[in-house]
Amino acid sequence: MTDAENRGFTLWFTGIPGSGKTTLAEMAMNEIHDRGVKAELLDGDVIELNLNKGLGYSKDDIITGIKRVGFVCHLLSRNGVVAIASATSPYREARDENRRMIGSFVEVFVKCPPETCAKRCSKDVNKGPHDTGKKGCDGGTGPYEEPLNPDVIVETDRETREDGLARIIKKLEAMGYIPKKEKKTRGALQKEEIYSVEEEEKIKERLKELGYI
Amino acid sequence: MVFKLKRSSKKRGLFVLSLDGVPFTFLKEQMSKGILPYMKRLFEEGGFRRMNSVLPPISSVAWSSYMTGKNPAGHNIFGFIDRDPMSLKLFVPTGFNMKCKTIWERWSEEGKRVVVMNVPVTSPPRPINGILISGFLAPSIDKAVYPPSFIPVLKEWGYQIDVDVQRARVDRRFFLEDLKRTTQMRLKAAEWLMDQEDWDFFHLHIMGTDRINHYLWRRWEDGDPYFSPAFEEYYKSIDQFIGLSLIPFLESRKDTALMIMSDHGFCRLKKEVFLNTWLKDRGFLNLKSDRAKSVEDIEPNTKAYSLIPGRIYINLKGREPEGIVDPDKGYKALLENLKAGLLQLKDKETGERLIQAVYLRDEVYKGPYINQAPDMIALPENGYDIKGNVDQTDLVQETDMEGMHTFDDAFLFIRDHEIRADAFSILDITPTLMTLLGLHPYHDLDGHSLI
Repeated sequence: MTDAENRGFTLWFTGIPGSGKTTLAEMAMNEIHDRGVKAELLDGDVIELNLNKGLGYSKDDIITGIKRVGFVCHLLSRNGVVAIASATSPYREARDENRRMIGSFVEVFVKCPPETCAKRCSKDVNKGPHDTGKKGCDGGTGPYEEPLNPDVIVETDRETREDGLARIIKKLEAMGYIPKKEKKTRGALQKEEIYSVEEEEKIKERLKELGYI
Repeated sequence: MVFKLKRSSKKRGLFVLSLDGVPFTFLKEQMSKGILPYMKRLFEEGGFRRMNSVLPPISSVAWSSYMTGKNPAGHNIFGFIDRDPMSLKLFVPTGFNMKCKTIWERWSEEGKRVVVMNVPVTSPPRPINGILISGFLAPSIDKAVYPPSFIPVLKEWGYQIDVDVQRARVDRRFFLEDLKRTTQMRLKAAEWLMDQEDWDFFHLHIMGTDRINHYLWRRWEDGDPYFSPAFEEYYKSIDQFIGLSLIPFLESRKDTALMIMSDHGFCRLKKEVFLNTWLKDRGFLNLKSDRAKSVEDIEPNTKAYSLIPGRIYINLKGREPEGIVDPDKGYKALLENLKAGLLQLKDKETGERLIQAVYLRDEVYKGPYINQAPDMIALPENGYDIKGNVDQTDLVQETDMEGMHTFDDAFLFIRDHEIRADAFSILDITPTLMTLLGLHPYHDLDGHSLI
């Protein structure tokens, strides 16, 4: 793995309660661990019981909560750890501010119609706006601003979580954040794709005529 | 063939037209003279700025940086010719030696559809989601195209990868005809692909501008009665493609961004400078015989040798097969000694300086392939083209080539966007392309988005 691939980054799952953020986040963490990369999941229990304890339901409090999670992700990422956050994070402005602060930031929009999410939610495990979803939902009564330009969109009412995860992982591989499981090397090129001795001589002649060698 | 533009789409996309080796100052001057009216009108619709190339400022290195977003130590292409430090054998670096993925490979993995035409150092072609037709250094169409099923189509069209440079050197009139024919065929093929293919990103590269600058720049500047108007006509034909084909086509794709750029500048070539001659004269380079043809034939007591253009390597113990310079003792002092000497070099006839700057490896390169990099790079004064031949006796010589590359005079135009930087380089193009495509720039790119 190159130095670049060893750098930390933040994988931020956003979506309304019940959309399936934490399920995907946990699957992503396992997949990233399998590739030998350190990762930490910040989800419901961690957020509600530690970082955002005492915060209420006002817009200011929710934004403060999103920024606190972002700050922890920033600390982890800059020290080479992959930070995975699963949080409703309903305000675009706060998410975008986290992207600016962290830099290496991959936003996954977990999209699902509210009515489907509501059916998934269990009323007796209401966890609050700073959320989670691990054990239930917060009811999703507040506004939610969809990302304008997320890196990945997973539509959990239209695709399986395995398919969604596969697209997230493919994106992370394409962006160079995580190594592929089976690393392809340049040696994988077929022999006939390389120039023959005659062809290389021909190219050298052309380069000489152009004054390049 | 009929090239009828019929597809209309609101799909977001990006078209890049690259004009190899076209200088910012030249374009500005020709536009103000009214020679390039379509470009003049178009360039008022966005940012048009001067841009730095890479070191050394040559197409294979610059386009490798463009297509990977990395400095040469990140992609491993340092010149048109390179040496294996273990054996000193010379080889021609190609796409095979490029050690990282291109942006079109990475975008393909994300589901984007790309068409890439004629960009140097893309051979052997790597699989992408779309079509790739390699450019300069591809030995033949048979080894230049992905997917291979497109090869017969190109052959049927009479598509040529490049002009006949061997014949061009001795017959400039033939060269002009060949250039015109090759370019027109390329533009027609591009028009067909633009219209018939589904794409998110399209890169069309014109190599002919670099070729005509190499072969006819001096005659153009001197107002040669035949070649000077022909030189301008060639540029006008590119201008007409932009004004009469490209812009009308993009009218049908309103959400497609447009970038036009070059990879390095150009200027009149006055003389060639043979750095290995200087190294020989100063006792740094010793060859096995007077008939030695390249640095493959250096004696073990050599301390330094050079490859075109201005790349200087120390015969380092532990790296070169018979290296004698200790990396811990003497290496730095030798570099300083060479640098001081290079900066004093002058054209004896005119008194002009030959070298404008000398950079140490760690000052300009950073990345996993830095050990393949030269230890030092000499950037010449405009007009003095540095060569790597070992068999020349004079340091400075006349030549029949007419133009040479410059570092700081490439150009960038982005339609509908201001360019938010005063000084920037081709390394900043890759993240800018991603922003234009609506993607977040990859974290491992060396540059920064300019918009």
